[in-house]
Amino acid sequence: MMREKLADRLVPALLAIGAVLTAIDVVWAFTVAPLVQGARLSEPAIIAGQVVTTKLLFSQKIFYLHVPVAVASFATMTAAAFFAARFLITRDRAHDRASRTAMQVTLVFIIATMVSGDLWTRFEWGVWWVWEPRLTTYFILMLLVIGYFILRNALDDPERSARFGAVFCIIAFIDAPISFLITRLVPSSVHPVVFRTDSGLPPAMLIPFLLGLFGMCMIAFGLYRYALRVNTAADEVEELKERLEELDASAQRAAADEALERLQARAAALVTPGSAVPVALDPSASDPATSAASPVPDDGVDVSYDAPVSNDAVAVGPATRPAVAFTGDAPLAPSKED
Amino acid sequence: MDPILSEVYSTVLPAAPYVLAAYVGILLVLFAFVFSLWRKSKRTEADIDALRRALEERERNAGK
Amino acid sequence: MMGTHHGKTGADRSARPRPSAFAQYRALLAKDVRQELRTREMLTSMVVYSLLVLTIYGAALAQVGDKLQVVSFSGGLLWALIVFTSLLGLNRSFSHEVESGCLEGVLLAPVDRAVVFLAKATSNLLFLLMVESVTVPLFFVFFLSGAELSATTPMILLPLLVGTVGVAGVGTLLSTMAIDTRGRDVLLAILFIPVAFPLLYACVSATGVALLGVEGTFVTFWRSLALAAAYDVVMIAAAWGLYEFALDS
Repeated sequence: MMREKLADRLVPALLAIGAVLTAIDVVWAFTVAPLVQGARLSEPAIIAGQVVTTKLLFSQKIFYLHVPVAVASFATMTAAAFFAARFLITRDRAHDRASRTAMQVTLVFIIATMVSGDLWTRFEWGVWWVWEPRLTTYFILMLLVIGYFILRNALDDPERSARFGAVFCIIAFIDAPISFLITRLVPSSVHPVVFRTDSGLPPAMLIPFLLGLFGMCMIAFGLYRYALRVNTAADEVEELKERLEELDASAQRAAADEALERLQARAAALVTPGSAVPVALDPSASDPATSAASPVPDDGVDVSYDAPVSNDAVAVGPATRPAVAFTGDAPLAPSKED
Repeated sequence: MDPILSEVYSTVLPAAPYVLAAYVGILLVLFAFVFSLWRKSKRTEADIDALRRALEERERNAGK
Repeated sequence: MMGTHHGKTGADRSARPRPSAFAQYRALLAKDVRQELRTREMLTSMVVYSLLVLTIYGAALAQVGDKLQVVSFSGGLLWALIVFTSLLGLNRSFSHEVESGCLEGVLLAPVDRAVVFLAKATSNLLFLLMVESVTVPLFFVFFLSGAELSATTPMILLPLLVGTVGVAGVGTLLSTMAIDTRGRDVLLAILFIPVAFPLLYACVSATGVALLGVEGTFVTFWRSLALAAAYDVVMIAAAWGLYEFALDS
């Protein structure tokens, strides 16, 4: 409990630090970080005293934000699978909520990665989509996460929705790395793709990248905590609604029970006129026929709270028991939990 | 401009809109998420208040 | 002979109050097979459906004159056929159980959930293999009868077997979760296709290599097959472990 409070208080700070780190990363990426070398020039040129033999690649700048977002999506998905497993072990609804929330954040980060990655693909490869290993596997990952939410929405019972959701979350989490491995190891004959960025990063590029990485992870965590708080409140609303409905239903039931008891008392009074107390039944002289026609009032709530009910109950009180014994027929099981 | 120099920078200008769009796209998606969360939280708060009041009223009535 | 046999089972029953897990497995499997052989509901609909898919392929490939071209992508076509037919079969296999209230009865019995999973996955595997034994030859008759088949063509049986095992294993878990949902037919496809994607990818690759039979590409064949087998092991283990959560107890 204490830890939760602390984490919640840290959320704005984390979001702020994450945003600052990411902002530094972006600014650094566009100012200090050198341009990556691309395709070969037709002849070498000398710029500012240095020999340049290749074109400079501006499109690589996407790397400084695109990759941190993608890494954050993997991190949140790992958290989702972790909470899903804990939910299956403990059956604690809080873990299910955590898992669901982490999946939401995962979906958001996946979409962000897809949007930025696709723009890069469009520029560098000249097409909007290629069935290239990394794109394919990431696309599959997105389908898995979307499938998770479709599965949850297709189930009405919250307990089953949580259980099946957790099972599918774990399956999806196992499936994603396998899918990545397979498209890497089994060559697809479609497109031999050559990445044009070199991998050994100089510090001027590595530092902003790492800043962005940490910043994005902090933002992801902050968003997750925020979403968790919103989801917790939404779940509470559902719970309150349920309790309210239950309360109304039991009030209705209680009203129906009382009406039934009253009727039975009257019936008993009519059958054994000598033993009952006829004095109390003076209002019944005019209406027994109408109330007998509809023994259970539909709008019980409105009727039951009013004063006449208690009057009647007091007056008829002694006559109720013989009535039950006489008919030998139990009244609707009254539930007096309220 | 020097033809060789313009060849060196030939990919920079055409790439700029795409790179910019990618950065803006990421931020837009994140902000859209935050906005939807914020709207949901506003709605939920209003719901909680209304429900609490309704619940208290019922409980008071039931207790009477 | 009859008498002694009968007596023996009777003695067995009294000596052993609860049958072993293997006996339970065999009983559940026999129940599924007997039911299917009696109604032939799943098998008929799957075979007819695959014929329809083949007809659509016929329309799609009507303009392709070169048989060699067909050979080069027939691995993918074959697997698309298998995946769609399996989806239909997996949906049927459980809807039947639920409609007849059979699943509830099985779950009431003190049977380990893992045994229920294994029995159901095995019966699904058997039915899928039966259907494939009809549709795969038909595929060859319809689309590859004029083409020169390479000598390595029979090797496609390996990826077919490995792939079907994985489809049956994962499909059983996912269709169990999808039975009681709104729009379950679509839901199973939405859950199953991305999860089965790695298996599909590896199997298409292996099948393609076997059909083309080019010297020196068999490294890819074996590697794909090994990966598909690894997928089977990992996914069936996961499905086996998670199955008790996918059932309503």
